Amino acid sequence: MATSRPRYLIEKLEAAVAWFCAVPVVILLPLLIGISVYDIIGRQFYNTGSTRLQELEWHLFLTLVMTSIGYAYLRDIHVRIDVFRDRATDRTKAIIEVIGYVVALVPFCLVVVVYGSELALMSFATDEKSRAAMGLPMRWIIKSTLPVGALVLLLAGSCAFARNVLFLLGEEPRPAPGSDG
Amino acid sequence: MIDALPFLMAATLAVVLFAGYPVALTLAAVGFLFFAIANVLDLMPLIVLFNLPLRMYSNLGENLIYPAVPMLLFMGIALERSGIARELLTCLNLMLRRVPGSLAIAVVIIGVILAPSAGLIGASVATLALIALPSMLAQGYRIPFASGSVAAAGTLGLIFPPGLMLFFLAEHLDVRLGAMFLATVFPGLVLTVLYVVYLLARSIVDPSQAPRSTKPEDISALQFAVYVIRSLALPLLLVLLVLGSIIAGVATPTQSSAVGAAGAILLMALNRSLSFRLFYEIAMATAMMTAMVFLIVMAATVFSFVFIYLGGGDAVTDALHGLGLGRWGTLLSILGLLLVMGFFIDWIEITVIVLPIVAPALGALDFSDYLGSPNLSMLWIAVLVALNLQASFMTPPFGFALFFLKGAAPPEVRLEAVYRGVAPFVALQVLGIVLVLLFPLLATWLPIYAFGSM
Repeated sequence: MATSRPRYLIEKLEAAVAWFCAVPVVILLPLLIGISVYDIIGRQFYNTGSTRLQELEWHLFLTLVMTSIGYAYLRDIHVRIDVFRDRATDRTKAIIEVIGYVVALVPFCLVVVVYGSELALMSFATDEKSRAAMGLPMRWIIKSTLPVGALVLLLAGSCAFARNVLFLLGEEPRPAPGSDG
Repeated sequence: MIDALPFLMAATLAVVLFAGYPVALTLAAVGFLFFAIANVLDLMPLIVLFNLPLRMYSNLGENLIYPAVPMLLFMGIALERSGIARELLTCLNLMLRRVPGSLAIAVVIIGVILAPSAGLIGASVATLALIALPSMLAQGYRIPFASGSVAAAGTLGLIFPPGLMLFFLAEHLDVRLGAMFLATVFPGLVLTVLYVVYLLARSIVDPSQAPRSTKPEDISALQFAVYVIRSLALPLLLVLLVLGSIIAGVATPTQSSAVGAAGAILLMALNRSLSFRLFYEIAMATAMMTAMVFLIVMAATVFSFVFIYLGGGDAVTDALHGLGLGRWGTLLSILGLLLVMGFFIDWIEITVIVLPIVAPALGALDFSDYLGSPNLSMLWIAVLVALNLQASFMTPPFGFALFFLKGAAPPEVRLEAVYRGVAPFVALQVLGIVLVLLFPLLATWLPIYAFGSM
């Protein structure tokens, strides 16, 4: 079967979600480890103030989480209670996934995207800073990771949704998301 | 009607979770459903939803401890994927080869050492099963004996510092993390000793359960010493460094987990397994697990926000109070509830969803006269919750760890055999819980010693 047009688009979007996760992870995780180690050494031996470093640590952490949740959905990492799911047919699984997309994934992502953007915009408009005197400025950057991450999750969910609809129409071999995808 | 909403909400969740949709998103969906109902009933205006991202942000961000989670996970995954954990097991087995049941005892020790950083119970049990079960069976260990000790060892790591579960328990029960870590040390050691004594006794009484390890081919004492240093001493040193620095209070959990992660990279370099390819794999596995844990935390915000808004927290406390069980009865019934929940879901969902609901009820239980102070009372309860959850994961027929063990084990391992093998450990576990109930000092002595009076 030749790759159909919708399928081509889905694969492109999925690859984009994967890249959006992989690139930040490879950079941010070593950075998080490095900065934390530097923080210890600095505090023990040079007596450097570390409020900024500690704030940077949770900035990196939160960014790591938000860039990964979308791809984790594509890889089917998010835990499920699979006592009954294991015994369900592929068709049932696809239907549950489609319903879940409509009643769970979309509302969740929309709330975080819409109200999360408002939160980040408010932070930008008021030039929100850390409450600590020596803390980091520009809280809007970290606050905007929430809507961005939710948007990527929405994208990943939409890809799986499209695949499941195609599966139910008989044009996909398996329901999505699959752990081998 | 309105009073019933929180209970309806909990009941709906309990049913809908079994549809098999990701737990995190299911939580959010139930939250939104009841928000919609409350909105129609004029109980919750739309604008309160604006609070959700704010709460998610303040739950996940501005937190000095959470950054430790990916680094601990990284350390655990690195030790596993680089083959360091497997080497550790081989080496321990070699050193203990004159001891009956040496491989099983080695597994318990590895469980204590590695599992705290392996994160989720499923992951640590599966890892241990993959590393240890095939060699145990090849050596002629009976299947129930071998699989029982793997399941028990995999769950044991949950309660040892710096176990991830303890982070979340401390957070939700409002206990100091350092105190939480210290409080589980002695109960954990007691359990370890009970396990090891059982394994030893069983292997001595019935040697067919666990045949002795075969003699290794002759190697010189020097070669053996080098081998032991490389495969045992270095990883052990690393784990002790992480644990020790937290317990001694030299480093915050975040800092010591950074030491752990950096040390794991160093070990991989010494082990000559470090490559960009492997690093990338480990980093991605870490990111996936971190995303999984914290999406649940984010989505649980939706559920608990609506639940609390509808008066759920007080409702549960009142209902428990209304049962008139007294403080001991209430404590035991909450522990019993958690035990049953642990059959079906991992600790992360329990700590994030259930604990916030029962935490006010637990907080209202005053064991100050029994423990000495309200803080110690809460700490003791937190330790009991930890032990209880650990027991729940390995209790047949539903225990969570058992299914993961079955999934990772060779096909000849049948679930009935796992059940039979793990039963004695469940009994030992109950004994451990009873000991901590009767002798609270097991949990509180070390924190009192370290922090002075609390």
